[in-house]
Amino acid sequence: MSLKEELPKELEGLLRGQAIREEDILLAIQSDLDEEGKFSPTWLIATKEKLLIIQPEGEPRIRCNLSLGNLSFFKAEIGVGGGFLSAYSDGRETRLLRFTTATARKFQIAASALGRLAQEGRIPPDILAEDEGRKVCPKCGFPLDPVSGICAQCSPKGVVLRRLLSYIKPYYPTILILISLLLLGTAFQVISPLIIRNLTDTALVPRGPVIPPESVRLTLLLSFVLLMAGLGIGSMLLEIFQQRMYAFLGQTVLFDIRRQLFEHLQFLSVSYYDKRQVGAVMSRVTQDTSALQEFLGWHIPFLFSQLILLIGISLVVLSLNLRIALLVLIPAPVVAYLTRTIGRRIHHLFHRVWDRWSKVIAVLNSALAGIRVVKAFAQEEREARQFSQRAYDLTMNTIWAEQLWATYMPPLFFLFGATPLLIYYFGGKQVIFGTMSIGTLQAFIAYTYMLLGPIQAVTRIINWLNRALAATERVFEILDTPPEVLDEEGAIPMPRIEGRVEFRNVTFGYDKYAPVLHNVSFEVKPGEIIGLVGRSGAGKTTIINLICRFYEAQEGEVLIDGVDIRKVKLKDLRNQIAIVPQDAYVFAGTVRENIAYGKPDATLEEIIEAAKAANAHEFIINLPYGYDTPIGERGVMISGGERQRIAIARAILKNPRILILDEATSLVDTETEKQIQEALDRLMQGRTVFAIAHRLSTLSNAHRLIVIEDGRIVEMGTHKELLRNKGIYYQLVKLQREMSKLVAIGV
Amino acid sequence: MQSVFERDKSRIRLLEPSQTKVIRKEGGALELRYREEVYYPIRVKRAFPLTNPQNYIVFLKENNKQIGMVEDVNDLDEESRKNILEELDVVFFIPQIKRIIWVKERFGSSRWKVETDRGIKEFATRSLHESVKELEDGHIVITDTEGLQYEIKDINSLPRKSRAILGKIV
Ligand SMILES: Nc1ncnc2c1ncn2[C@@H]1O[C@H](COP(=O)(O)OP(=O)(O)OP(=O)(O)O)[C@@H](O)[C@H]1O
Ligand SMILES: [Mg+2]
Repeated sequence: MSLKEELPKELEGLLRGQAIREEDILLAIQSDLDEEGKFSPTWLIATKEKLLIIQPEGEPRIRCNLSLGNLSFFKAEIGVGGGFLSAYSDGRETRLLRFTTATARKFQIAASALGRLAQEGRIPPDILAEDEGRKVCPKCGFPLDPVSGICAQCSPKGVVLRRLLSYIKPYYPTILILISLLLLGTAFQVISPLIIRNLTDTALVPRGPVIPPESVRLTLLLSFVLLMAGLGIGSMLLEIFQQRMYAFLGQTVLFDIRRQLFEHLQFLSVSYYDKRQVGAVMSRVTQDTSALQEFLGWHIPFLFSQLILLIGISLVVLSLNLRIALLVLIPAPVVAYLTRTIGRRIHHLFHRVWDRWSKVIAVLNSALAGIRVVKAFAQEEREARQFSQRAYDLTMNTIWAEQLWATYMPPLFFLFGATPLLIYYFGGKQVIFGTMSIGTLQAFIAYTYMLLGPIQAVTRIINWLNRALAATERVFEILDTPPEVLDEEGAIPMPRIEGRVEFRNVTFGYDKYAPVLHNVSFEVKPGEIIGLVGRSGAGKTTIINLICRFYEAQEGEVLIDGVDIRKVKLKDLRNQIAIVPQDAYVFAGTVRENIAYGKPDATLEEIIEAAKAANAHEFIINLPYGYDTPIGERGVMISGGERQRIAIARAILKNPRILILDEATSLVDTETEKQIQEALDRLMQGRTVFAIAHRLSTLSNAHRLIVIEDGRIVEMGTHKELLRNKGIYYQLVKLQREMSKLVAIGV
Repeated sequence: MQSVFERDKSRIRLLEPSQTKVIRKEGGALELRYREEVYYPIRVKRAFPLTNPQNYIVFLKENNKQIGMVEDVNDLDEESRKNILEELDVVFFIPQIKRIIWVKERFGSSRWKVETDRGIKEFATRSLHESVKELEDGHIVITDTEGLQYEIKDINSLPRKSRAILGKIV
């Protein structure tokens, strides 16, 4: 993205009037709305000293001329559909201009750029380092693929196609055989009408001065029939071979792509998944790859064979009889055109049916999945009513589509049948006048029908190609996303982390223009237990995410044992950190597999030890198959607190140097929590622990507490110190009415 | 059904309309005066922007902390009402479609050229069933690739040709 867009010529005079030269302009961006909120451009122009708002439409005029020096900061306020940019100076707000969400991002960045300009007198270059979020193709105006950012129509297809074909490269020998079989099969197909022609002309209705005797004609008949039988058997064998090879080839290629894709997905960074829905990524692995396989293993061979057939038929009919051949070939484009237009129309309707289907499914899904809520609120009738409404809508649309289908299809088939009628008439005339044999006429009729296949193929080719290319591009988009940077050049191995963690002036935002952590600094000694406290959304989990290096700080640094975390070998780091996340996740698998996830070679005793420490052993033993009970999706249902305890056991078993508990015991009762804590105290001796909890009693064993508010550290110290300070922590404790209890522990 | 809440204006802090004044200050931002209290600059939001755009207008401080609400913007004096509606128009920008000039389709995506109360606009949408939503009979909201929404309050108020174009695609 550029914060210096090209200014229209009309503004030059205006700027000259202000003694602003081209090189003085540091920022020039265009909004799409004017003061009244009409679609009309407005320019925001900044130099080192000045800020101008210019309305170029009609008579260009300067709407606003401000001195930058008087302004302290800028903010872009974004609502629904639109927003505005404001400048602030000692409590005063000045509205600069309006914009729609289409340009909102630009003004959000401009706000931070202008702030820096006002304070430092320059715009730091890194503020512009964001790629353009283009949504529509600049060439044709149609939307780009949201994921790959490519226009299905305008993007060069050759490159993608070639890359797609590279997947079948290892199978070239197989493909060569396939192509030969294909050619042979096509030849058989093209030959058979010729055989019928000869059969008719020599054996059935021979012409000419000398008609051969019946015995000769009978022999001829038999040999032609045998020949056709031979061809039939040959075709059948070819077909079997071909289909088997397609199946093999298609599925092997599919497997290759899927495996590669999944492997790649595993190594993409966490932030890649932040921006995408799991469902969308999943459909790439399942549906898009299937689309590729369909294209490679089915459409390409089909199109190829139809093309060969088209060429073969054309050659033969042209050599048989030029005039009639033209009658066969010329209507073909017309038929192709009609098929395509009608096909589109009908496709449209069936798309609508599909849409209504998904609406019915949505009701079904939400009502059945939420059946408890529906019943609890006695809303069964309303749900039933809604379902019947949607179902009726579906029914009406289906009826409509099918009736249209029923109306359009017979005329289309009649049209298909009309070309042979032409041949019958004009060819028949030639037969009557003796310029053409009956056999040739028969062959022509057969060829006309045979041509329908290639014609239909032609009508579909563009659709297929575009669909396949879209799928390919989506798949390649993933494959082309660079994986999480595993290790920088010269990463430092850390086989044993001591556990010192330090934040130095860390500023971080998931979106770098909206920091979530501001200038956070703290130091944690090895073996310390740190409690992170703060309101929901304060930034506690974010701090944890930085320690795990799921994200990297934009400013400042995170140090592990005094080494910048970006320089530590990622594998060493992650191997020695264990995290029990806020939303404890269990995989589909047994309890045992879940606990041993981070240490697959753990002994049974270790697994039980870990479960015991997490206070999970007892409930596990009471599951029907003990540690071998399947849990997770499709397994035995376990409660939220039980899931948390399994996650804790998993973390303990990993024997980490740094343990992170993000609301790890929020769903278990206080008694159980206390037992877990005692076990953790014992096991976690000499390890660094970060614990986050809203229930402050959970943190009673923490050595020190860090209180965070709006991404800033506001208090830090021991429990006693913080209580004595009577600050935010004190308030929190008081609020939770744990005061007496905690004071009793603390004092 | 009887509400569990007694009509308790203090709980959700409903402001007394006769005591509420909204003034546009120099520079364009709004100031709220309620009884003795003065807030500047403020933000205004709608609580039910789609279903009840005139009701429950929320006033916020610049740091997004709520000051209070008015139940119905029409209960306020004319100037305050005008200022609030103008402000809402900025942060709740949904052009009303008056006429559809053309729609082009390709592989499920579409390009539109429409006349709105904000002027002529061209835009593009992804798959129709995701971007064209019928809220209730004849009330349509179209979302373009930029996330901008366009509204047709009543499809029957469109010119015949626009209706025909729309009918062909949705
Ligand atoms: N993946 C993400 N992408 C964008 N923003 C995020 C992401 N995760 C969190 N945020 C935002 O960052 C801020 C801090 O979130 P964080 O998860 O660190 O809060 P928290 O202190 O852990 O809160 P809680 O107690 O509710 O878990 C929040 O405003 C949140 O909306
Ligand atoms: Mg959190």
